[in-house]
Amino acid sequence: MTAPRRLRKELTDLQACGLKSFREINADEENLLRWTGLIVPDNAPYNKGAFRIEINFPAEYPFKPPKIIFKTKIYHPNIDEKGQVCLPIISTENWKPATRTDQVVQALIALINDPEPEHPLRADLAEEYLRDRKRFIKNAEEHTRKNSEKRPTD
Amino acid sequence: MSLINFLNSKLKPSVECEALCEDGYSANNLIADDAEQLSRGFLAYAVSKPPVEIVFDFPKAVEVKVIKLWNSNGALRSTAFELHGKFEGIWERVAYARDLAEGVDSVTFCYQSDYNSRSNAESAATQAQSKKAFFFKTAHRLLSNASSLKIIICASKRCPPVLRKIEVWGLPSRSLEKADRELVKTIWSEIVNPHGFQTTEDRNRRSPTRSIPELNEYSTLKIPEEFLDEITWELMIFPTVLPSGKIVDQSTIDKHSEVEAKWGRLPSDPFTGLEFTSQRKAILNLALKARIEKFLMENSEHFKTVPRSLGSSFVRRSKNRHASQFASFCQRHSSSIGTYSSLSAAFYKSSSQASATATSSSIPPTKRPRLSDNATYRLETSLTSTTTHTTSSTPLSLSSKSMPFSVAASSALSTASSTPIPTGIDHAIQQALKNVTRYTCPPAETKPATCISCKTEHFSYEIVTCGHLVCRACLVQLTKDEMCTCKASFRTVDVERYHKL
Repeated sequence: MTAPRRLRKELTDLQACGLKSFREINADEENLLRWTGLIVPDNAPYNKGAFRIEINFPAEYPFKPPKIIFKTKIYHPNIDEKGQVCLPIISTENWKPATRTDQVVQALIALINDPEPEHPLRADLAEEYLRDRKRFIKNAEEHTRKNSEKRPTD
Repeated sequence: MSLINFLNSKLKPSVECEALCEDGYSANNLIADDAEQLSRGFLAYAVSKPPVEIVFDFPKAVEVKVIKLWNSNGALRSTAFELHGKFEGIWERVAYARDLAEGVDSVTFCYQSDYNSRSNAESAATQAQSKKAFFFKTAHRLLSNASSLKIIICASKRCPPVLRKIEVWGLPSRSLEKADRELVKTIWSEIVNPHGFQTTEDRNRRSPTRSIPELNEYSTLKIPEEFLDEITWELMIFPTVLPSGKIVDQSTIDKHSEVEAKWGRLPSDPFTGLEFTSQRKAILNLALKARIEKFLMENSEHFKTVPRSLGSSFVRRSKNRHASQFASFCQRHSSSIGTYSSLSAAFYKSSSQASATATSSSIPPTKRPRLSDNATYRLETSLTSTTTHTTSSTPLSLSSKSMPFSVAASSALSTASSTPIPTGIDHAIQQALKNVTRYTCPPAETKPATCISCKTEHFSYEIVTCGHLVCRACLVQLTKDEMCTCKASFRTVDVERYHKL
């Protein structure tokens, strides 16, 4: 591991700042390189559920970007069925070692709240999002209700 | 635990095939050491028909986990395989794959229980070309301690039976002695990473492994944040100021540059992404470094190890450390290379002269290390920076005057690195000279200044036009005819009060 201190600091900072839309941040007890958290989006159609994500840091972090995987299924043009996310800020070629995890998380939340159909991972959903917004929202709400986790009460 | 391919030639498998083969396409190709032979694979003689049996024997028993075979070679394609294992001398079928479709390039046999949907999903791209087949439930008996394995090519697509490549992955059987198992594993690790040692060394050469002073577990010492690298959040050894004003360790910059180089990019500021140029580059922050060193020294009991960052080892390390920086420096300023080499030639000449004087004045060479590390270090930095900034005259003349200086100069030269410190070169040299023991006289100081007319030292005014100093009494005399003792005329406004240093 290149920078255990940085990871530990980022973890404590992120836990301490108490984001409303990203909670239950925990690192794997044995492996500091794997974190889990719960995304709680504010915007419709995802504001009825919460989504578990996993952040995997490479051993070379912060010289290589972390990877984000959605453990909860989500109906979103930028997230595929396997839970992979297309987030420019953590793409290998754009990655800057100075980028902090809270910035990555903010970018992710922004992407969840406002999908970017211009760079989709699921073209069908992007098309539906652009052509028939009402149906997209209906489907997404349905999907969220079926698959997502319970939102924390407070 | 990582699996081992037991058909690697280094693990000495043997193969037997009774069928006739095309010239140069015998079954021995499947376990060949030679890459070219290995790539040809097995092909039965043109008129032969399936089935063809190929038997592999392993010197040590194997716990087979996965078998992967490639069924086509060019347009030739085998379409059905059977796998047999031996139990108490009797062959028994353990798996089969039939009716391989046209797009299928390979077949993978494995246990259904090992078949992990997750890992499978990841290799989705290769999925289409690779067919998956499972061992029978009873296969475990045969495959957990297998010393031979039979592949039968049962059918082919209107061509002689063909098998381009085969891999048998598994672990050394549990029935083996522990020593044997370890041996197999060691051989395999050597196969996988034949240059293990060299590669780590290579990495060291490009960017030295970072030895961070590690805090003891029980220590509660708090390291001031300004001593921490803003990217890795570790204590810095070579704090370097980036063009963006952030301070990180030199090793961080090196590592970042290495990653960027993979994308074909030049070294850049990790915060802004702007490339380094001659005007905009990372600068070693010596003041901060001194403070960190002091901090480390004062709290050394809290640290497990404190790496050496000064003195001779630094000379060697700095060469590596700045190699990348230097390379980029050379790229941009190819013109300056000429000056650099000519400079170094001049340097060598002068240092050899200096050593000649050293022997004549019989100074024991042991005197050299007596220079404090600190002084040498500062000397080096100041000198290297001077060489790069092409103000060669100062260090050259100095080196011929003072012997230890020239020794340091030549060692600094050997670093051949550029630690450019654009400001305060003169200051740095003066600082360095203060700490250096001189064996020859410094240049004679200029005569103590005196009043131009009465030659006393009580002067307090300067006539700006001619630069002469006068005392008050003489000045009153001289202002009468507005003429200095040197016959240069001046006006009252040209007289200024002179402040002694």
